[in-house]
Amino acid sequence: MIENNIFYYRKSAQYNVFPGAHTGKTVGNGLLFKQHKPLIAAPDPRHIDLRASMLNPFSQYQVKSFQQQSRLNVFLLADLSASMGYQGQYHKQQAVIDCLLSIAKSTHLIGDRFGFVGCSDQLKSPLLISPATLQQGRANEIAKQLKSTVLSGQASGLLQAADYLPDSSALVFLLSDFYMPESFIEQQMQRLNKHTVIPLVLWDKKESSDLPRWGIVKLTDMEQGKTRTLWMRPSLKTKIQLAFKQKQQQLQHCFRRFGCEPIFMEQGYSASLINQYFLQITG
Amino acid sequence: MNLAVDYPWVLLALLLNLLPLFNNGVSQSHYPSVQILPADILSSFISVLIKMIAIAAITFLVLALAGLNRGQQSREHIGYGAHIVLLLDISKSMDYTYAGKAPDGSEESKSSAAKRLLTEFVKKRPHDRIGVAGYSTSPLFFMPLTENKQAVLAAISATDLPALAYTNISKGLLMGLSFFQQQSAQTGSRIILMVSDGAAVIDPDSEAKIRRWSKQLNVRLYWIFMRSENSPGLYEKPEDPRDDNAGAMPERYLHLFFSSLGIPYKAYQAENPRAVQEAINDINKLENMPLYYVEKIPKQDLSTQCYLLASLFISLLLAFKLVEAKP
Repeated sequence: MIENNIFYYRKSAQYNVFPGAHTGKTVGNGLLFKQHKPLIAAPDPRHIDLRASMLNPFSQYQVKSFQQQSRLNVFLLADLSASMGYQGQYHKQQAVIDCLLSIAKSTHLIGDRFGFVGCSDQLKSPLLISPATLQQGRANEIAKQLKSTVLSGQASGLLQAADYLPDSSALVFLLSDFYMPESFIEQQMQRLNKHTVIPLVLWDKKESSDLPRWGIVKLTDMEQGKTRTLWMRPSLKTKIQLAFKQKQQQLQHCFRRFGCEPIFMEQGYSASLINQYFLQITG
Repeated sequence: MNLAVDYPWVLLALLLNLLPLFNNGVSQSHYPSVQILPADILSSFISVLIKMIAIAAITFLVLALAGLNRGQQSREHIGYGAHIVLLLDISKSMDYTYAGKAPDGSEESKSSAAKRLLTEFVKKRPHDRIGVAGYSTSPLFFMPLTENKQAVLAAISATDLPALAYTNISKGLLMGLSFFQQQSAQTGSRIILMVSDGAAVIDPDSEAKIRRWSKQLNVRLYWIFMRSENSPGLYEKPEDPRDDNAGAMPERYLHLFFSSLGIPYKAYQAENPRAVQEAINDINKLENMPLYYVEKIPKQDLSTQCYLLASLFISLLLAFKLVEAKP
């Protein structure tokens, strides 16, 4: 278990009526002044601005209205395909559980709603929190269930996940190893275009740079069952590392086209990386 | 180079060769996605190589188990000589000396004399094809017509069995003739060399058969008659005309019968070992005609080589197994 798994995040919750911690566009109780309104339109005599009322050429009472801080929906879309069961330097399945608990806890502390969608070939309905709730217990339950689940299939069900997200813009963490074809990622990002997406890329050093220097290795694809026999040697190893670097760049380009920046996690889930990410964009 | 196997059904195991096509046997480890791995020619070559080696190992192992051999082959030969069937009398009387006594060391028995002399005879005629048969109560088959001198010599020495009781000459002759019946075309001369120390009455059935066959097969007959002391010779006429019948003088009547066959026939009356030697020398001079025959080369077992190759390939596979790395 990660000790400090709480991270900070901000995102404007545009039209959410429920009060919360994020800047919103809804008019209501808040600290940020938005506009003056005639008393008839906003019948709240507590907020009558006398100075503005005097200056009004039609001598109407002017009332100050404020932008309300709104509550946000935070979703975790987790890829639960077979490849997420990979055990390298860390267990990716455990990283998914860590991520789930961390996001659930962070949203709970800030007072936002949390939702979870786990997909492999199909959407896994027992592993679903949608619509998002304020209760943390459900997330703990799913974490427990995930621990005993054997992951299988491919990530094709992830495309349906968008159907379980709210209409209003939500903060969506997309957790996967992203070894899928780029066209699939593009399709997925198009379906999530109204939400703010933060792709969390779970990679492992053992997949790329920690391969043996010499010897014969046979690798079996966890999803498709294809095998590759490799005669490992330093030149091939650097070639593989280069391929991974290229894939990383490719992913970055792909996500940047949709206006988001992926977070690469190579040593298991880490909340501090997400923290850094949000501090960077607000700063 | 015609290859053959002893147990063709074992070749069904060659289907096992399909297995390496699906799995090269390298122990596998999970990997999230192999698509990202760059193509590598050397790696794919080695993967194919391992499969090929595995296929070769299985193939040779199966071939070895099936008993691969270089099948029976034949080679054509042309030489000077004859097809000779040695027809040996192995009746009881052959175990006695010429004097009609049991051999006591100073004099050899007729059978061992015949054996010794025939051995020399065979050694002197390198290009003949010789078969060996014997007769006693019934005919005994020793060796078909063969150019293998060692086999013939072995067969001759094997005639030294404890002899049996009677002398059934007609059946022996028929067996000797039957050697030639299996030949499709005649090349070289066909000779039956009969060695006996007595004769017997030939029944009419066999007589007709012998007449017909000996004509048909165009054989020459040589009879070395090892005459014991005090026994009637081939040319002796009885003093009493009443004794002039086949029952009383079978040797004389057999000689007359052979003479009447209408085939080249010669009889040697040998009263001692030296006379037998002369008879054999005579034949040696007479029978040298061009001879065409097909030599059979026995099948040669190749399973040892197969096992060797299989173990070579298996050790190669083992080497590949040992250089496996664990990611």
